[in-house]
Amino acid sequence: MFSRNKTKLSAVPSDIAAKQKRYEALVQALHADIYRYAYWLVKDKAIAEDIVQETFLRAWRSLDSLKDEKAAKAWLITILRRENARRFERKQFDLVDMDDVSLEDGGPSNETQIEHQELQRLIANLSEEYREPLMLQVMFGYSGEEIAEQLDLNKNTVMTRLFRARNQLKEQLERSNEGRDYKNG
Amino acid sequence: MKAEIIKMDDLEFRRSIYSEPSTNDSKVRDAALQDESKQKLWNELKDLDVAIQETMNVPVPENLAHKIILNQSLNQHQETKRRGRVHLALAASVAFAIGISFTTFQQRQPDINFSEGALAHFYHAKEMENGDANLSTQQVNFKLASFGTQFSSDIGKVFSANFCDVDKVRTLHLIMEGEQGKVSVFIVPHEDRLLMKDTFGDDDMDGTSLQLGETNMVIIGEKGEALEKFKSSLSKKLDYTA
Repeated sequence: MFSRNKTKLSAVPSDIAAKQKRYEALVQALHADIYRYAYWLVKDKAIAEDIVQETFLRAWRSLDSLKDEKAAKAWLITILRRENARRFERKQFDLVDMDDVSLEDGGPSNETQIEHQELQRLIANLSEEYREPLMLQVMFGYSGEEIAEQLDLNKNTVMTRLFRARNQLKEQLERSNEGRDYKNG
Repeated sequence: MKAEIIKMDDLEFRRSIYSEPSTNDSKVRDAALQDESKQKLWNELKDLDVAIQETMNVPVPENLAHKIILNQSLNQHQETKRRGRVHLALAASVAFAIGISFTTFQQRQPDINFSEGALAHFYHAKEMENGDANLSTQQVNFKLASFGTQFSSDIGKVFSANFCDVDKVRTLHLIMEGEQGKVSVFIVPHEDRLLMKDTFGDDDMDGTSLQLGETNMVIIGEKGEALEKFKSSLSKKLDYTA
């Protein structure tokens, strides 16, 4: 079967080959960022991986609509967010209270992340509307305008949410540090 | 000239550094230079951002990129097959082989839907037809001998005769001349696990199958091809008692 295929190599239409090549470059360049975004969106490794697969599959189907490679990341994030919303529509009855969600096993595991275990828990417990702009700013280096465009919000709203996100994280970190000092003392 | 220094109040300063610790705003910088406690707070926010970044930077599953590309290839092939399109990307061909062996292996289903498999293979093989070998019935019989059967008289024009695996079942794939175009004939020794449909097909192709003693024959031709006639003529010539 394989040996017979070889004779057909040259006949693969070049536009498909080019599309495939473009797609693979896109996957290589952006899969890690998109996975991390998905992970912090859903806080579950396996679900994040599923959503990423679905996202890239949809990206393949409408790859022709992506005119500018520079817009690829924003485009993929948009698809990803839509996929995630679909998942919620499908599984509405499975909804859990976001405030109670803690990270499952298989979360961040390298040394730096273990150091930041408390922070990790706090980030996971941030409400999604705070966590998302924070991800875009800190992980992807998006400006306030870019975040506003990506999330379809106005810039003031974005800046307010970023302010509140950090404010909440900082306060909670300080509170838990004080608690620890108190116990130690 | 009067240079007016616009001083930032505490709240504005906090809002700026909390919402964007990496800000380059000169007002923020000036305010921090003039007030040590502001500078200290700003540094704390910068440190917090480093920590957030490190925390968010979770490990990516191994081979994820590879899995994404494979998933796309498999999916692409399925769609191609569904639409009956005849062009296959190389990746899809490879994925086809992996897909067939993987699903067969994984499901371990004893029953094989041979008719559908033959149709899938037909599209697959259509890509690879090369030239008119124009084989004689004797040459076909030479190959058929391994199945313990043969054609007793001339079966007409045969473009090619190759052994192929359809769903892991070894079969002889003949490409013959029909009234309208090429007709594919799959000959396979009978096994109980092979599910054969009398007739099947899709938008473009029709298929029919029959069992003659210990030999199964599946015939696939374009819609409108006189398959029944083809089938009866061919089945009369097959010496299946051999």
